[in-house]
Amino acid sequence: MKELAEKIQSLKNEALRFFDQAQSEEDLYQTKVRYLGKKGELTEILKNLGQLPPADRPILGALANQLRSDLEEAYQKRTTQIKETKILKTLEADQIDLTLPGLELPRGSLHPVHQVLSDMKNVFRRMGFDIFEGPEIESDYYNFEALNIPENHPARDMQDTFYLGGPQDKKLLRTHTSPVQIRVMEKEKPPIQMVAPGVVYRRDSDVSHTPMFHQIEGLLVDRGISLAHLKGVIEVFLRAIFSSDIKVQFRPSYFPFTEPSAEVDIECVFCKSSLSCRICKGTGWLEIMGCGMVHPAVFEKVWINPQIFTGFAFGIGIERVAMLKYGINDIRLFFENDLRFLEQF
Amino acid sequence: MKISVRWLKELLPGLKAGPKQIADKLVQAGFEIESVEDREKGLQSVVVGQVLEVARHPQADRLSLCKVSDGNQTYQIVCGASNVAAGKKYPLALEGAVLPGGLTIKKTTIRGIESSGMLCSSAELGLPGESHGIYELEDSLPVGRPIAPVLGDTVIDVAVPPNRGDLLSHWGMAREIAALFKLRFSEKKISSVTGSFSIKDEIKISVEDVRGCPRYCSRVIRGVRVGPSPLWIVRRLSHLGFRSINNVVDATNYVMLETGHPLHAFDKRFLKGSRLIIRKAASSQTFETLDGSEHTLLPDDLIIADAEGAVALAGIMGGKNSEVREDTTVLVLEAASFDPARIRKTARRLGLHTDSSHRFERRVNPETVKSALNRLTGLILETAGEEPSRDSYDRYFQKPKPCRIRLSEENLSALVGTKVPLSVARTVLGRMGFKTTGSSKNLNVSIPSFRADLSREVDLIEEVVRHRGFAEIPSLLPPSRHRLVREGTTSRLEDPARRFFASHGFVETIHYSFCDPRELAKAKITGPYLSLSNPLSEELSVLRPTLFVSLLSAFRKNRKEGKLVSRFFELRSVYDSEGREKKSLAGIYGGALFEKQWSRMEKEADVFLGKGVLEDFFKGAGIEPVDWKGTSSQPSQKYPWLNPYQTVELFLADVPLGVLGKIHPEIEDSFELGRQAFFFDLDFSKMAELWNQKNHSYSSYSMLPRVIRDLALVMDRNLQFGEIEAAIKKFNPPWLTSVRLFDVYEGDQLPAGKKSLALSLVYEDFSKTLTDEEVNKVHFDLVDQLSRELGVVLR
Repeated sequence: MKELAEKIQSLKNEALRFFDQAQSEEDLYQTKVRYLGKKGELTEILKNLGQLPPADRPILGALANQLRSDLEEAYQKRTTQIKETKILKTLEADQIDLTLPGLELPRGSLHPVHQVLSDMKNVFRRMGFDIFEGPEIESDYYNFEALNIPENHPARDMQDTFYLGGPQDKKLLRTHTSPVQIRVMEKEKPPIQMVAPGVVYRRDSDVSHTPMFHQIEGLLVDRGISLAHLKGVIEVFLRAIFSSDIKVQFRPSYFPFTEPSAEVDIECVFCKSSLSCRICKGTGWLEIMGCGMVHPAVFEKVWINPQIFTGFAFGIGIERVAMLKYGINDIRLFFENDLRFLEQF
Repeated sequence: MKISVRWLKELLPGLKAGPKQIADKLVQAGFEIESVEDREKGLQSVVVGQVLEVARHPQADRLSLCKVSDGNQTYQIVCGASNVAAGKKYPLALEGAVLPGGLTIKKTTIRGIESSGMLCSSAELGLPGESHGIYELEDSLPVGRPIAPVLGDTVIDVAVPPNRGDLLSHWGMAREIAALFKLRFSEKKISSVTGSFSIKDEIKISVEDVRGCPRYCSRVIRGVRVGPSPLWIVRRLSHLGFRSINNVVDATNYVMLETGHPLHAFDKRFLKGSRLIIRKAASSQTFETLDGSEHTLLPDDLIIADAEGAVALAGIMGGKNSEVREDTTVLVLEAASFDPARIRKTARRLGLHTDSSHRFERRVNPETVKSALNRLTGLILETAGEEPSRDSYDRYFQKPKPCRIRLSEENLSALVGTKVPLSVARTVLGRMGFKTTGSSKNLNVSIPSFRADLSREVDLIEEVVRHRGFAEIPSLLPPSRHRLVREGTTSRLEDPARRFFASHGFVETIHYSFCDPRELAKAKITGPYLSLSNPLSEELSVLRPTLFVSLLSAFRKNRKEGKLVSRFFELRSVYDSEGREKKSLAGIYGGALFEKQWSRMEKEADVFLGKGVLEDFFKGAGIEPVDWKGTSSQPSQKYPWLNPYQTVELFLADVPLGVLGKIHPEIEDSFELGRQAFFFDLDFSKMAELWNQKNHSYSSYSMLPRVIRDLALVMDRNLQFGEIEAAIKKFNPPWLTSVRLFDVYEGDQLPAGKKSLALSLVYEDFSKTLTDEEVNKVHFDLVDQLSRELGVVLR
């Protein structure tokens, strides 16, 4: 019996050593079969157990069972180890130079003017303004007459105009988006609440003027609309576009189609009023848009009774806002279409 | 309108504010300030100096050695000016003075002689106008007096809005500024002068065009000596941008700047028949204005004529034939009111924008014509003349009716949006010199004649708001009305379309809508084009009918060394020759699919890049299925700027949507593109309509396993994939749900003139699992059909 117990012990030592030496799951499995398999060495021992004296049987049986469970445990442990080692190796084999640049897909961009315009349209959509568009090729009537700028009135000097064809057909490139106001008021009855984005043209070309630029026009007509509403709407709009705490001021101004009229300034986004600021010339304010209460003469042209309805209108230049938002110092850059400019947006 | 602050302060002695404060106040009241020029800076340590002796510099012929007094001391000064003379007075800059140009005056030695100080020219003092030698001052100035108040001034340039012609004068500005600073302004009393003869002795005047000339006044002055103006007038005019001509012309300009009335003086000698007639030109004729330019007059132009013809373009400019000369002795003076629209029409047509036409276009107050004439007469007598006519000619045909406007507290408060007591309005309007009467709820306001721009109640409300400022008006949001925001489809879809192309590597451009007709012709885009009648230049003279040339220019311009990918798009309006607009979405691309990079993705862009992007775009937009028409067997002739063998047109159920193709090699050359390029052009307006009609619905998919069969077919190289695709569609085998091309091969492995296409076919059924046998049967039936129909063989 002693002999058999020793054999079990040596079998155990031997098996454990082989398990430790196994380098692959396959080796390990073979080792397991060799000891614990149907024809394995432990099975052999257990077969011979019946030849032992009955008193010794339970003792040796217990030893043999202990051996089985020890080997099973060792096998499981080593299996886990080998798997872990294998995964670690796989991971290590994946080592690469992560400082290499990423895959460079062709990168497109949106023009900054359209980005700003798109932001503005979204603000107005959220504020409940309809969005309408009008033609760029306009008649003298919509661009001037209906907006209280009669022929041979010096207010026409405020906007140098491009004309098409002969003088008789009086077609022109709209100098502002305001004609859309007229077109909408001709068709719709108040309440009217709309904006009109678009391209406008003026016969002007220098450092701060391009012959084509973009505007968005707004109009709100209803009963009881006042200057206070104009202030409220414009402040909400400018805060949405610039920042929620930007200061806004209104100054009286003159436009033929609004009365009273105002220019709107925002606090200088560049200097916070340092005297040497080149952008605001030390005033601390930047002129940003024009607005006013719709002139009764304009209402009369579109058969809206100014005794019943009042309204306000406003217009803002998109390039101007884009210049302030992105710190662009020359308006002509927008239309040069140089990749070095465009790909920054 | 340039205003002299010194002049303003003479008119408003109570005005204590400095130029900066005045400018700020004007800005707050709604006027833009173009500039504020301080022309006193640097004059502080310059005084009136008198030259006591002049001797020649012993070492230099051109230099003089002067003894100059500043009243306290005598200085030795070396002077290089040829006009220096003993006894005369000049601006004297003493040691330590820093002149406007930055020059610091120091004691120096010039050619061995010590010089302590400098006699200055007007240029050295930073003053406008011409500079001939050192500035000779009038004798009346006491020696030693600081020069700044005499020569210097501050000039504020105010942008006067077109409705405020009344502000184009110092009196008008003084009135406005007085109201802003709560001061009183009273117009200068004009003392009347009289003479011994009647105007009728010299001239007979008649107004024929009464509509064009509601008021005409004239007076004659005899014994005129034309010569230089007094220095104070010269200086004042010069600060305000006027060159001194002579004492008569200067007087007319001075009084215009003072009162706002443009004035004119004729030389009586040249008025034929001693007649002045204010009439229509009546016939086309040429006329030389006093600036020496010739103009062609039209019958409707308003002129001042003598017995024979025009002597002045009314309200715009006098004639060369009657201008005041050095030997003029009898003047006929003119002050008038002309029809603003008539003046503007003629001035614009002739391109003559003068100080006179500028004011008449903006309306000159007819009520004060006579007093302006009196003021002119007085000034000319002071500076040039001897005796005025006893009487004036004055015909006043259309006296404006006195204007009264009712202002109610209710309307004022409603428009402002908060209660504004009428007392506030009464105070503001009173300050501006408006007479008001009425109750606490309604005011009756008498509008003075100089404010013809005020005719409605809202005009008064504006005045109140302007003077009170916006700061006191609350900010409120209008009552909200809950409803769906309306927006046109094109407008709504532009942003998503732009984002699509930007995310596919296309850079968005915005070009001017104008282009060069020569470029269009070069790009084989035939006219007629829609031209501007007054373009800025030939390069920007027609409205573009297509985005093609714009994108060509972006492509060429941005071709950079080492940059392989080049893709641009634009989504904007184009215009046909009739002026119809539509939105076009076009793109250009070329070069590689990817930039050169370490991960080696080297492939050139070809027409299939565009096709793929557009297919994706249409799929995303739900516009399907799009037909691509145009095959290499039927070269397209419609687009001469594209390679006819690589041009496809896009249709949706016969509605043309656009075109995609390779740019014609001739265009590639003539536009120096430097690489192959591809172009697409979509009718975005049309697309937006279709997009709007999009009616997308879900289709279910099979939950059962699918069977995939790959197929390689060998065929003539001229056979097109489209034909295979169409044939499969025609045979329509059961269970086939998708066909995908994954390889095209031509080469050594195949006989010459053959190619092989490899297709992947997916079979699936919704109700049962397909067996191999079932699929094989269908699949090989299809192959048989294809080979019978098109002569293809299984590879």
